[in-house]
Amino acid sequence: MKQDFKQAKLSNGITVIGEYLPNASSASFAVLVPVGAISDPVSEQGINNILAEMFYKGAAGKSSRQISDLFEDIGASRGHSPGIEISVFSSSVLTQHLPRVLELYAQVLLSPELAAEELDSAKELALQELKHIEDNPSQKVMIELAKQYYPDPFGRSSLGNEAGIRAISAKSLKDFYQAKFVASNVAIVLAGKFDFDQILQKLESSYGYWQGSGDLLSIGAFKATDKKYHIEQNSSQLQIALAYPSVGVEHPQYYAARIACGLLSGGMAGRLFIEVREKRGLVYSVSASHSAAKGRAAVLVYAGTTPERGQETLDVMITELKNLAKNITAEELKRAKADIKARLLINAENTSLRASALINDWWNLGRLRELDEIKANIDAVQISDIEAHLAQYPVQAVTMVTLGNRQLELVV
Amino acid sequence: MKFYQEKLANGLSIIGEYNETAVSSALGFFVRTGSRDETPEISGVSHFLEHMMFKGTARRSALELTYEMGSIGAQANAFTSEENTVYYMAVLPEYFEQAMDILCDMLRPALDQHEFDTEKKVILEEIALYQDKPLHVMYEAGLKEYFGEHKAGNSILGTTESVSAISREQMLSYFNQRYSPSNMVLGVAGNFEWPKVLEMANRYCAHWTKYDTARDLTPHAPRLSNKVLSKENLQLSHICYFAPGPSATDERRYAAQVLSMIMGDSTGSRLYWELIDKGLAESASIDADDMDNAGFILGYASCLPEMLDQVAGILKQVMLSAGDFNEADLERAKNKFGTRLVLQAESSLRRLLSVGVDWLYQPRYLSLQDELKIIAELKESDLRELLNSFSFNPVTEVRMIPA
Repeated sequence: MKQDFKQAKLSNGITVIGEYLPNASSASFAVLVPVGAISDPVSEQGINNILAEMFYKGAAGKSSRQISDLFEDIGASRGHSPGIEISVFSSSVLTQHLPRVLELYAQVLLSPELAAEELDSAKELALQELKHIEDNPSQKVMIELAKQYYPDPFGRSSLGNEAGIRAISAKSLKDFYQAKFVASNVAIVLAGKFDFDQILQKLESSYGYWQGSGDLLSIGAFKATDKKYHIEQNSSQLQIALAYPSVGVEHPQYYAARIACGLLSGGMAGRLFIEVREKRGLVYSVSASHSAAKGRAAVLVYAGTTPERGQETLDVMITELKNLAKNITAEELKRAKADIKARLLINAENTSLRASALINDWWNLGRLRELDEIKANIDAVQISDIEAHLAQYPVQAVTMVTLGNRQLELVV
Repeated sequence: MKFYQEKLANGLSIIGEYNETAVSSALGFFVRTGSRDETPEISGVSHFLEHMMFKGTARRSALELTYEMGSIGAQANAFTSEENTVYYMAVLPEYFEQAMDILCDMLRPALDQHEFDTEKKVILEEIALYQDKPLHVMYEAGLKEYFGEHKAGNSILGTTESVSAISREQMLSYFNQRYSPSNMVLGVAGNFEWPKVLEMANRYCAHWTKYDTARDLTPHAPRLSNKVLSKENLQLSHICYFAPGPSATDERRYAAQVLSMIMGDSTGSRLYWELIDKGLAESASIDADDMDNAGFILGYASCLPEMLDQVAGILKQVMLSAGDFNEADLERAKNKFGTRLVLQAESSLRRLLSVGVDWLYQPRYLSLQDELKIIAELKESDLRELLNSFSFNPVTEVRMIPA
């Protein structure tokens, strides 16, 4: 099925990409801004997260309350995801409200007040978000894993840290906004039912005057190394998280790498789920996922188990990771492919998930992939491709983070 | 959209909402059983049994079942609540028949002893996992406090002790009391062929034996109670308030949901402005939870431990003054509610779960348009009348604080 992709540029160079979905009753809209935790000054980590919150607290002469009411009058959801390298501001609305919501977002993103009197409450909230993570071991372990695995600033948490949040002032926030929240490399994404020409005109008048340019920070080459990090905490379960190198979306082996992860953890039939949970009952949760961002990628593995079963759980996991290339069967490959393809197509039903997929493609690849292209690439992967990929990217240079009241031996 | 319904001679209800533009097919079994249908000796058996449905049948071993689901890319899962157990799959339409075959087969589990023993360990891990979630621990304790001895407050997971003690025979006996076809609904949504659904349902389910099932529907007496739980090294404190609310068959539940949204939605609500916008609380919400002949309004907040008294006071005050809203507040909440319904309906699976669970409570179909109409027609007076019967005044309070 041919997909109806749209693409254009505003006069200031902002890219507009969209997919027309004739059967949708909603439309999803997102603005991708290449600013994230990596843009935070070292002494003010968490500032981009605060900025995302502050946009709604007064803009274009309107109070926080007025802005909120304007969004809610049209039933528009408001999503903001201040990430590591990019921040995404998004909304899903009934089709007829799309022109209105993109105008509202232009006001909050391009004319925010960033008022000193609103900053304290935003900081209080951010400090509590940090504490929330402290109370949630499974989230905390994955945040720590990224920190241990990637070189700074790419391993940062978007939430920042306590000292960083406390150091932010109204002036530093405004300076950060002016320096980093610039038009270069911004993309505006649409998915759903809309009149593209009409929306484009609207976008030109609302976003066409956005200026400024900045450089993109690139991770460059880095070498992962064997590393163990333990957080001692009294909890019912021991959290185990591993990361090791893989290839990104732009890499020729990408689909082989994705499917290799699928063999480990695609749905309930993956090897990790079967060996660790189904056969041995060691865990409730165990998973491996392929995490790919621009220029960097890793296999992330997670399990949570009671401390006395921690070592056995880890040992079984490592055995499965090491033996992955052995005895891959045609049936198994078919299952891993079926799972990835079904997810891909079923998620495409939803306009907001469709918009996220377009954002990821645009940011990681600089182009949009048709579902058929992705399907064809998945179908083309042979057992030998996976074997070749795993020979080149075996389980090595593993970073392990554990959280709980027991330390484990990692023998790869 | 087109709706179909049928009932087999053994009492199995079959419903389908066809959507000609859907990319996927969703199918599920909705069973009118959950932790409130358990006795204390078998606390947790409903949820444990839900897991066992994936562990093999007379026709398929656990591994065969898992692999077969995998081979069609079925996005399968299940959940257990206090009163419903739901098994579901989303698949691409070309795999619909195979998915039906698997799902119907699953619902007559082998309950193999070895699989039972292994899965019990998984459940014990799940219990340990939830023990590390302070919000969950408080919520479960809160339900118990609010419902008291009433079984609607029974724990879904059970305890390490209760689950450890459950035998295969007890589970089988529970299955034989609760999984009568007359106590179940087979639902499909999205892309499917109705005659095919009926033919397959007949083939796979018509021989299932019907027997009597009943649920204790004694009304509950909301319990005036105040409890404080504590946990080591907790960084944030939590509080919840329970107040009586309309049941799942009470037409006023829509008013309760919209009023909860005005008072306690995650954005733009009274609580948002009183607590989140001011940075006093990390999270705050009010929700209306409707059950079988029971229901409650739940107010919740989390914040720094030293702020808990102040935050609790504000949360309570907002609930006590639930009538403090105007026409514009109502319109905004209705718009948000409507948008969320439309977005939810874009997914065949989410639509199935909504229609299927509703059917368990009341065999009456409401299309998306019907539901949007009900919401659109809600008037200020409907919300005020609701408050005459359900005041939102907290009865039960539970706190979770650092030890």
